[in-house]
Amino acid sequence: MSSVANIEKYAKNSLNLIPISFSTLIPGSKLGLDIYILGSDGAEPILYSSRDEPLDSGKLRDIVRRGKIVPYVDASSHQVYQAYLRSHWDRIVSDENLPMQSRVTVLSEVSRDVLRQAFRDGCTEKIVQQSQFLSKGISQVMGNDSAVYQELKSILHHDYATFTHSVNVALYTTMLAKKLGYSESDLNHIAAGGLLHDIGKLSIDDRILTKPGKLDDLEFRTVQRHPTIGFAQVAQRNDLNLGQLMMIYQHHEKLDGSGYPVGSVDDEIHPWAKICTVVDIFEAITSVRPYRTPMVQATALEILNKSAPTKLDCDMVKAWSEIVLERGGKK
Amino acid sequence: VNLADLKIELPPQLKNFFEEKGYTDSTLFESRKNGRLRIRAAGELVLSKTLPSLPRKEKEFLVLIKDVSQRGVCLLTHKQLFPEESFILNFNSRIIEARIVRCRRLNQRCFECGAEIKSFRNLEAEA
Repeated sequence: MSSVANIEKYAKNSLNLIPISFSTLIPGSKLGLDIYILGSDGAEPILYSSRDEPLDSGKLRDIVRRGKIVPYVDASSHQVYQAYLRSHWDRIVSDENLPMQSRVTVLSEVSRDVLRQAFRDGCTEKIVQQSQFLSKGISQVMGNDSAVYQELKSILHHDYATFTHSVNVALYTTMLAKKLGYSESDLNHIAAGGLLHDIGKLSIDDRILTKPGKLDDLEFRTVQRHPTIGFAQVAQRNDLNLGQLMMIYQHHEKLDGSGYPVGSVDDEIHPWAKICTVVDIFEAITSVRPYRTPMVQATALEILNKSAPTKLDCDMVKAWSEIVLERGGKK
Repeated sequence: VNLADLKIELPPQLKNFFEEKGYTDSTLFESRKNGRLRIRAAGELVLSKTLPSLPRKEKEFLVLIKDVSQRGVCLLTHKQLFPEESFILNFNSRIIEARIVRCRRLNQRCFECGAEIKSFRNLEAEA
């Protein structure tokens, strides 16, 4: 029996297990959850570590070395796992000795979780605060030269939830901004801007955002309001700078004036918004959407390249293509 | 107001701007509840509230009024205005206090701005 079938069988009988990553577990810490691994073919999952047992460093090292072994936790206790990740956020994110994969996994998982909660609450104040908190970790990890897209894409979620898309865009914008030579301080602000760029979608009916078919004219016009709505929500704040506001307001503008909401052209569009536009398009077309399956990265890059230079900044598209096509193994 | 002082460059589609009169046509998808009356006049605009991240050096300038409804006013400006910026508009002995809700670029020196009216005074009627 395959591993997946084994887990499905087990899930039907008792627990609903979901996979996590060993690389997110800190030796010596207590997860507060039972961790399971798969037994041999046909056997039920084995309890690897019980909830009260500190994670043994030797045991963890050994199992990571063996590779291809996936740990599972009970889905109904997923919040406990998320809380564990949040409590170890600083340590994992700032530890440059940890593999990039571990740090990015924590970034992605915690960011999605925090943003999902904040988006669900619908409180702008909370969303901005949480984005600013998360952006420090994102810029710290993604501003590192060893961040490689090819490793990143397998870790990230690619569903169409706005919070997932926002997290991915934040990670990508930070990578692209780093490649373009922005300072560490700018990367921090750009990461927060990436997390916030679609904040206006909170005010758009979910039935429109998740509609499986083609949008009619009225629905399309409604969706097109999200940059203006988002901008209006945060425009009066003192803790967001102009670049961040423009990432929200101008991320659907195009260099030839064919974008929205204003139809701004060329230098009227803030450089941070131009960065956001490139990766926003790329993320959208390489992720699952209610109305289509994801496109492969080669097709996505082809679309970006066709849009430059009339609609997208050539240098940015070129830099992003280089990032996407770059192979791993830097560190 | 001296029209020669206007910095706005009207686009070709607005070449008959000053001749057009009456109520504007509504399209099927417009959600406006009130009819919009074309009032084609120049006015003096003073920005009364700007955004923390977008300080303005030039706070007073001339604009063209395009149309007015019970709740909103549409202006043409020579530069982009942003949602949440507020202004006081003085034209034809009327004073409107309003907040920008949308802006669309027509050309480099012409932006069409929609604003929500917060208060309206007709000085002629008050006199």
